[in-house]
Amino acid sequence: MLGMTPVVYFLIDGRLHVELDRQLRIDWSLIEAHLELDPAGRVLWNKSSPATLSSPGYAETWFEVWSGSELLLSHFPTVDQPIRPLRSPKGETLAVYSVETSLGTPLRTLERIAHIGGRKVTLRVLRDESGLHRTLREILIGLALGIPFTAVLAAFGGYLMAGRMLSPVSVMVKHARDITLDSLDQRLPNPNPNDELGQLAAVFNETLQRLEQSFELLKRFTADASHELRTPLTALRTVGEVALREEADADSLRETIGSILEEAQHLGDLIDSLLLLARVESGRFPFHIESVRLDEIAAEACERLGLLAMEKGQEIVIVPNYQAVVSIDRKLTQQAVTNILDNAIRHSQPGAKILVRSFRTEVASGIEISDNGPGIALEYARQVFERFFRIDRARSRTDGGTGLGLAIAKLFIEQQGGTIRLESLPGQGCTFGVSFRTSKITSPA
Amino acid sequence: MCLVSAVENAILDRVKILIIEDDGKTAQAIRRGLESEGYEAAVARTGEEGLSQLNSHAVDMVVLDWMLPGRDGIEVLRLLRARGNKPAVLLLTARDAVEDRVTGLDCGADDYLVKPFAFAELLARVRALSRRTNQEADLRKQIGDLIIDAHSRRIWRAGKEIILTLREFDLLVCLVRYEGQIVTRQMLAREVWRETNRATPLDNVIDVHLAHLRKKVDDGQPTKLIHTLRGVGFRLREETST
Repeated sequence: MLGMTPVVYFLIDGRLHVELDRQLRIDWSLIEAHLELDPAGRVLWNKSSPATLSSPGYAETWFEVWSGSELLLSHFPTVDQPIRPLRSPKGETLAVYSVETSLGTPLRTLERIAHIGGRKVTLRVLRDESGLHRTLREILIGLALGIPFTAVLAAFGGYLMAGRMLSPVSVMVKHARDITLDSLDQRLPNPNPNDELGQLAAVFNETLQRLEQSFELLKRFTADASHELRTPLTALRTVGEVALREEADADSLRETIGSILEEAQHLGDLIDSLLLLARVESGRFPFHIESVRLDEIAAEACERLGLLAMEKGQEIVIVPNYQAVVSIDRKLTQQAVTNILDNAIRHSQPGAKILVRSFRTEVASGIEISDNGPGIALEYARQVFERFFRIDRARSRTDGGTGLGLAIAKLFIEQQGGTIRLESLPGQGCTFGVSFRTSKITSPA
Repeated sequence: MCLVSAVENAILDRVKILIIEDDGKTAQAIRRGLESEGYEAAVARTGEEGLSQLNSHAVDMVVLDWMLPGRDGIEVLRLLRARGNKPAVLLLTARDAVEDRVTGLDCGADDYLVKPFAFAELLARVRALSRRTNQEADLRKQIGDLIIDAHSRRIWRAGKEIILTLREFDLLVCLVRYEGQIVTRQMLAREVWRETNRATPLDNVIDVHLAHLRKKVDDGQPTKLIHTLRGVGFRLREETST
């Protein structure tokens, strides 16, 4: 708008001036036609023309006839105007220019040589330019006032429109601001899911959904961990305090101390497991990837837990595969496999047979641990890998586990890019499978 | 420390407490601790077991763990209250969030204790709860021709009132509570004299008081109620003297 204003102004200015000059030219021709030379050599207005100098049509048309510097005829409103200078035209050319009277009235002048009855004179027509100036000034004022006003109006209108367009956004912002940790179940309102704002709201809501689920899992885990940690603490404390209240002989005190130490051990195991989980999960555990033979892992696990199995009268059968070699972190995988075997031993009946088989295919290599125990229902097959999950809650601590063994195994295996799964049917035992991508093997050792 | 006056425990029947807790060690430790304070305590390891025990025996108080296998503590509590069961319930749990406390209390628990707890606090809360439920307790008991009124602290035998000292009365009440069972000097020291150390000096004091008590209660009566078992303790039982 600002750029347009001077352009408009100058266009109008130009046009008005052009118009004025054109008018002057017409004036000149008209007046020249009406002038004549009388026998005395004076230039006079044509007596026979119907219009006279006092006709309204000629009121504004002023002219002067000069010969040299001598004013022969003048039609100019005010008598006491001082003599205006004459610019001598060169030859037949036309001179058009602006002058100012001594009173400051602007005049537009056209001068030209005219031949009146054979006499060569300079005919000069003049028009008052102040009207034109006034018009231009008015336009300028109009523009000067109008522009800020229009600008304000436009700004205001723009503001209103933008506000209306953005108000769904501000509604969303307000809602989003209200969503906190405690109210993650809220969602943003989405009346128009098809426009851009709607898509944004939909994505936002999806993110909230995932956040809510993560927090639910976290809350549940924290509650479970809290319970698991507090139970042995309570036993520790109550046993100790009650023993102190009673008078006890050395033997029963020894028993009490033993009982307390058992609980302390369990607590220690639990804390270690939790911390390990946290560290590996946070990604701050340094992996050491190397080429590992899976049958070695299997053998090591069996050796560690052999005594436990023997106590339960269980038999572990190893089916090795010496080609099963993968690129993994030995320690983590060892821990995972040992945990799975430990789980199998604990949950199988005395006298059960447990099979530990290493395998290798084109695509994957791994270890399978199967038992011929009671099996697990399908709905629990995924849940067993959850922290502190126990199918039979009554067995929480009598079997000695921390409830985290399988969860740790899952984390360790998956962090290395492997997969872990459970296949089972009630009555048909369980098979836990751990597998990794088969790496290229060099000749087996 | 504010000594709990013997009056609080001057009820004529031992308070029966059922402990429903799945962690064996904790459960047994609580039971032992309560019994040494003079309560009669039993343990149930699951919600179902607890409910069935409550059905078959009258119980004054329940110490209930929230996280139980099978039916959890809150379920047991709701069922209990729905059946109109009156025992006072102290809810024990590792859950310490405010919402959990509110839930527990709203579902009918009379008190709430977070694990791990100090055993002394458990005892204090049990005492507080039994004070409340005592109002309904029957404060009169009759054994043979012996009538005891624990409210007015008076006794009668064969219709005639017997005047006892403070200590003698407390001693008698203790024997009455364990009616038919053997009470050792240790138990008397703890429950009547509130003395937990192995304080040999008390033995003589106990004997002296008991002798006085027996004189007042049994002398001239056709049946002897207070009996001594050498080397073990004492027993209050209606027995025809040999």
